Amino acid sequence: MATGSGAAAAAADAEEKESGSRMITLTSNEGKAFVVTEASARQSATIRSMVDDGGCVDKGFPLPNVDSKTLARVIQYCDEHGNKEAHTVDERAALAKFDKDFIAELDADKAFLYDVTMAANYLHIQGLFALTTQCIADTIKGKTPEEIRTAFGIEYDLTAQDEEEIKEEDTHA
Amino acid sequence: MTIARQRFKTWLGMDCCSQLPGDLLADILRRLPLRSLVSARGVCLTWRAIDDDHSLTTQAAALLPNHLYGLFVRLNEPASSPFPRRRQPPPSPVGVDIDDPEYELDDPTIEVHCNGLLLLNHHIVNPATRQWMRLPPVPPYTSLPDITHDDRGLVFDPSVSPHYDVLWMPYLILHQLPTVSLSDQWPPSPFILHVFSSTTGRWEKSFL
Repeated sequence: MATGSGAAAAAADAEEKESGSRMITLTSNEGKAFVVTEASARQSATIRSMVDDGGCVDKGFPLPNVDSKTLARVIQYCDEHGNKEAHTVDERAALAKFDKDFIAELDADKAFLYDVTMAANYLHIQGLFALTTQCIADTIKGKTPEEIRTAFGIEYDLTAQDEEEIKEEDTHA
Repeated sequence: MTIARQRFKTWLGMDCCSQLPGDLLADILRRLPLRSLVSARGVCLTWRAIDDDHSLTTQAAALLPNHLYGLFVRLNEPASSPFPRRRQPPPSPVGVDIDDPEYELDDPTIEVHCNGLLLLNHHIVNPATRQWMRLPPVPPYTSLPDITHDDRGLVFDPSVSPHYDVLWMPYLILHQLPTVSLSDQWPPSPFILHVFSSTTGRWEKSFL
């Protein structure tokens, strides 16, 4: 026979279990719904704060700034980091390898890399944002201004006066 | 490709600052070492303005150790100094007295130096930051006869990274080498360079 406090504890357990396995729906700007675990969705600080504030978990979260292709890729990252443990050395190594492969694939399609960066910024997914911005920074690193312009398709808009200023700065740097 | 190009442009180029939050580009540029940041300043007006707005270059430069304008080495101290004595010490004297027993240097000879970093008698000394450390023992050259001499090299550029490498290069006298090691691919090349990296804190082997 369960005592009063025992029943309360069982209820709390059930509730915790429920929140642990709770599913959350994210909807892209094209109206496509993605069902993810709460642990995965909590990788995003934006969604985390909405869930914790008792937001519309049942109705799901529409994401008007993110298209389906980008959202699918972002969820792939969140699933890996949210649903898997990272306590042991092996688990952390597996996550690091996932990150490495994940970013290598994105790096091959720069326009998509930027979309994912924007989404990570919008959803405040810290780990993913660090990963993508570092990848873009690595593209810039070690290049001359001309090479950077070529890599990013940026038009040259500096005047002769700006050039002079830059040269002046360079000699002091 | 053209579409991707166009998107880059609308992402990072000048005609789309409103779409691309400058903060986001700033977060990217923030990850660059100072030298690359100076290059990024020269890309276009938008990038330049973002750098100015977020003081990225200024902040990166502030992280560098004190800039080293030069190095005075005074030998046979305290013989008469060529520099006039000051009544007051200079406002922020930066220096390292390598005769200081703290350093435990038997032979305080500067073997090599690079951008303000000194290698003396198995110690790496940075007078600008007053940091110093003793290098771990250099691993032996297993496939070579006794090496009596080696050459040292130092790689350090504080505007790129606070880390440094130390290179240890054996002097090789060809006729003293075992012939087998010269003619065959195996055993591996005896021309081993030991590289100490401050990133790992270990000696690594490099094969030439």
